[in-house]
Amino acid sequence: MRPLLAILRKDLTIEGRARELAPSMAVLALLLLTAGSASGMVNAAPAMLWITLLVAASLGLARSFHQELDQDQLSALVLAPINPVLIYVGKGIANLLVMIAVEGVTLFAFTILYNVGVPREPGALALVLLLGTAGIVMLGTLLGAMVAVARTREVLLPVLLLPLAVPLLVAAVRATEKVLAGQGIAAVSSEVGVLASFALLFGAAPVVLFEFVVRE
Amino acid sequence: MILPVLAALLVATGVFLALRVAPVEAFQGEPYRILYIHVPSVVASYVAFTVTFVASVLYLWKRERRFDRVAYASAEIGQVFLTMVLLTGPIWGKPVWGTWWTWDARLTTALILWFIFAGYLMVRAWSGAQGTRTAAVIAIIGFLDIPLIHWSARLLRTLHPRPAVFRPEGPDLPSSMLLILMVNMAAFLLMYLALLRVRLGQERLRDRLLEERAL
Amino acid sequence: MGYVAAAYVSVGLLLAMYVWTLRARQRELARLLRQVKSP
Repeated sequence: MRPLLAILRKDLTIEGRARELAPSMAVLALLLLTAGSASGMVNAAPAMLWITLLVAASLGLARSFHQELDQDQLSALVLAPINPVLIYVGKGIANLLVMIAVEGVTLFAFTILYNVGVPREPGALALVLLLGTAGIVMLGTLLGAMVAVARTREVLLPVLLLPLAVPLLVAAVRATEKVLAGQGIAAVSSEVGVLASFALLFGAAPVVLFEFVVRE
Repeated sequence: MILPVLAALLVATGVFLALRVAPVEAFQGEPYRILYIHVPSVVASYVAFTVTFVASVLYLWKRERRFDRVAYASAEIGQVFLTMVLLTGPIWGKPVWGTWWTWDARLTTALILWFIFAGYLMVRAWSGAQGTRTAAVIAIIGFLDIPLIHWSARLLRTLHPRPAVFRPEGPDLPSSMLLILMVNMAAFLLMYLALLRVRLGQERLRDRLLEERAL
Repeated sequence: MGYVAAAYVSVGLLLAMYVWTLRARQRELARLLRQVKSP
């Protein structure tokens, strides 16, 4: 538990690259939403929201391991007697917290720019947002570790992330659409099923594979 | 040498049967003949991707070079077959469904798979020696993601109109058509094996080259 | 009928292109191997 908190703390404090990037991610998200709204994408509001979140996440995740690489801390981390899975979980939680912060701002702007009303069942929306974000972060953290050593990591991460995230995108957009239209949790059961399966797959897979990724 | 020759012969036979011998289909007419190269392309690409998946798992587990070579070679060839799927699908769809593209679950899955493979090949092209493990992970999670992609693609279809004539399960085939399809299936699989043999040989050669250079 | 032709021809072309890249790579590899063996 202790090493986990240590990793978390390191990432979220002043030196943390995660915290450094959050404002840029938020600005990028706002820009995308604005561009979308201005160019008439108001009818496709849920799609704009999720694509914006994915793009903003790609920016943050591509560099989430970059700091360690810069200061050659990655090998130090790996050689340290911590279970590599803890590195993944620690990074994942840090990334998730950053995403939630960015998302808060994004949702606020989204409601205004796209004339979104309060859904009849806000809990359902919250669930969709949480599951979707968790899925993106889980997969993205794994990919972030993998592309950290590549020079082309900023373009490589979204290229790898987006196709794999299609189930999440489709399910999240449809669920968001339905919930914003006033439907309840029962109506989005299959979408939530996809989101939950996605989170399960990309929560479990990295636990098994992460060791192979960072091992020399 | 016998493998490529055999493959070429079988492909030629299959194409001849598909274009000249196969009877005309009642609902779709001539365009249905695309089935004879579309379906075998699908099968060949999925076989290739499965081989890449298994080889990637073995590579991560055992760290033996030969598994990585098989994974890479099969992925490249699989991508070629997948491109055929994405070409023949819409070309078949236009006369039959009236539209080039429809978010049919299987075509959508093929498209996403193509992007996953493209990412795999990019990683291999750009990351060199370090990229082998990354690529292996991509192959593994990509493969595991496919059922999810297919599931979510089926959610998409309720948004878009279902194709009126063509059933996603495929038309029920009379035995004569089935036989010709089997011939083409075998032809494509032989093609895959022949290409794999060549490509694998090139990977081995490349490894030898790197070894010689290091001496 | 044009569609059938388009499908079969494009598949054939794609295969031909891939075989061509394979041959090109083979030639390149052979050349490099000869270079290494006898500088």
